[in-house]
Amino acid sequence: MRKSPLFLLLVFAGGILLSFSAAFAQEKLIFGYSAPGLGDEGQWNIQKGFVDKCKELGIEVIVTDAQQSAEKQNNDIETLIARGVHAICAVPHDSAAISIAVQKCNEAGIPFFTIDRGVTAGKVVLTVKADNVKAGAIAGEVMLRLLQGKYNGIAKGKVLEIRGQPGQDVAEQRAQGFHQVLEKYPDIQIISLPGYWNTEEGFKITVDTLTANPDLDGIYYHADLYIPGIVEGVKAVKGEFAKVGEPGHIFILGIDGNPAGLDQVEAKLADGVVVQPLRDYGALIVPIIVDYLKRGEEALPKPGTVLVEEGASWSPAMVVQTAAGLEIWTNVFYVDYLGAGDPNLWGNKPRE
Amino acid sequence: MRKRELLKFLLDNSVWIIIIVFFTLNAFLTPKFFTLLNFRNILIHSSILGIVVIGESLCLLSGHFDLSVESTLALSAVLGSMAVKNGLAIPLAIGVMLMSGMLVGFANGTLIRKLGLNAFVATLITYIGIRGTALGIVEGKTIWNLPAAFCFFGAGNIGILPVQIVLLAVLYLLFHAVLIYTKFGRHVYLVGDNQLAARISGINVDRVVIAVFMLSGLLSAFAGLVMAGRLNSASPLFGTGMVFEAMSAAIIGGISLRGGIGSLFMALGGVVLLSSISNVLNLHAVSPYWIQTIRALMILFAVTLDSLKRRLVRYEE
Repeated sequence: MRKSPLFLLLVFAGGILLSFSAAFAQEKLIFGYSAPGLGDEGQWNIQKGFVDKCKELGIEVIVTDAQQSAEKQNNDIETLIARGVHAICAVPHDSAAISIAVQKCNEAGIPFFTIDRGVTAGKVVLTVKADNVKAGAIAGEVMLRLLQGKYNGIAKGKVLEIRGQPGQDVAEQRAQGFHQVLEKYPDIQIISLPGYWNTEEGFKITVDTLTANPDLDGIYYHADLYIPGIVEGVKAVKGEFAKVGEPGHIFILGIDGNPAGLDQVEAKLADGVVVQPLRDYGALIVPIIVDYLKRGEEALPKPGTVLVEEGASWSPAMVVQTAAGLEIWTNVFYVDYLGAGDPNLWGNKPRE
Repeated sequence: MRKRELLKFLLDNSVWIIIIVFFTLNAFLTPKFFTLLNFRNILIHSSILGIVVIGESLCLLSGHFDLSVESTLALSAVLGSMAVKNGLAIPLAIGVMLMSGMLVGFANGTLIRKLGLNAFVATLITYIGIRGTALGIVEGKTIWNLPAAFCFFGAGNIGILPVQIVLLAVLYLLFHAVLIYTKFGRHVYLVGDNQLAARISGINVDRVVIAVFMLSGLLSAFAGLVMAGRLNSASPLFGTGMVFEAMSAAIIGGISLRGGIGSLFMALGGVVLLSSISNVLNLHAVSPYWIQTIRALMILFAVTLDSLKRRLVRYEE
């Protein structure tokens, strides 16, 4: 059946009218949130923080889970575009692969934000992430102090670094900060091996490295998920595990501040952990997204400023203009067993 | 004639000969490699993968793939740890774990034999779905600090021997015997070699295949128990990417992808070879950026030796 042009025009006009009336009738904002995989504590908490803040502000959120697949994340974002959300926020699983979806989002005129990681191409309005270089540097400084304490003020010793996935920006930055600090001391030897964010791999690396280097002084891990593997690895080689403060203890510290990680620090299995305010990324970014939808570019914080909010774990945060775009780098801080029980740490907050 | 026999023996045990070459080289090249402690480490590292490889090998020998092994491992670890954390008696928790593995295997076998799905597709479904279930159960949480008795299979010792190593030896001997000396074992080979012929000669192919998958699930679930104990924790991300390693180990050991050819003893060789390669790279503390490339080159070197030897034998014949 051939439809007359007039009929098509009517349908078209009707469609426009309908969508306009829907937009006016429904003041409520809808955001899309694309998680890279809700399988780990960190990602689950970033997502939870985002959703909670949206609920608080009366915003509806559609959460998708890419289950560690770059391809699925692209599909997820396309679905969110089709759903007509007002803004999309994602934690990219793969900074390069997600770019296709970001560009589609740009074409559709939907502002795109990211948390934790940037993207390679396409326009991202703003990225909120922890300062991973700083986190690595803090870990490096603490390790330095511990080594100096052990060797009467002399900076020397042998340290194992269990990395994440080589090449991934988070792992690279956590390595970079740590090396920046310790490479100034030629008598500190760093053995770096990739654990691919895999607990069992962390166990194997610990066992093998301790076998090759029985005089190992410390272990620096890129993520909390390595701790059980490290503890068991030390036990497997040494026969027992010397806790923090016990003779023969190997210094263990790293980055994340997950619930399990904090528990282990509190139990004196690890010396301490550099905590990232994962749970509070949402509290920081959601109001900015809302403001951006109202006022556009001028709603964004200016590069070079420092954002401060009394009592917020992300505060102070630096606003930085990078090659990848505008970014907010949140505060990171170190806790040892004395501070690991603090109920204000995101890792100690109840899950529901 | 004697020469032919010797060559056949060499060919049949090629992985182990490569391992001997590899170990001899590294005794000189890698500090601390040729020590009792390190051999113990290599066997400990081989244990979990090795147990999974038994199941995978059974499937391959019967002419099927099982992609779901690593997900089954994760589900079992998570289920068991949740159960003991919630106060279930340890033997019951272990029962739940092993049951979960057999159920996944049963589902795989049924999807393949009764629904007629391709093994690759059927186990891909469970591979995705079962890890998803593990994720859903704990919502991505890591469970840790498990009771010592529960960790026995992973971290315990019998005398001076780690339980992991004892388990590896016992399970390989047991399943080797099952494959060689029982009717079931012969049926597995026959089904893998030629399904039609197996059916004509009166073998209940459905039953053999379903049993093979149930055993594979059972062993993967058991590997989950060992891993939870070894790492004193359980995460739904346990064993990620392990199916790839399990297949490689079995194939390096000479188990044919088309079924019917290969032995468990050789698959164990594949496992030990892969573990030794990782061990050497760790001992040398190779640059994190090049470690994968070097690992690949070492595996290439090993399989090239193998194929050279095969060619040599063909030439001799």
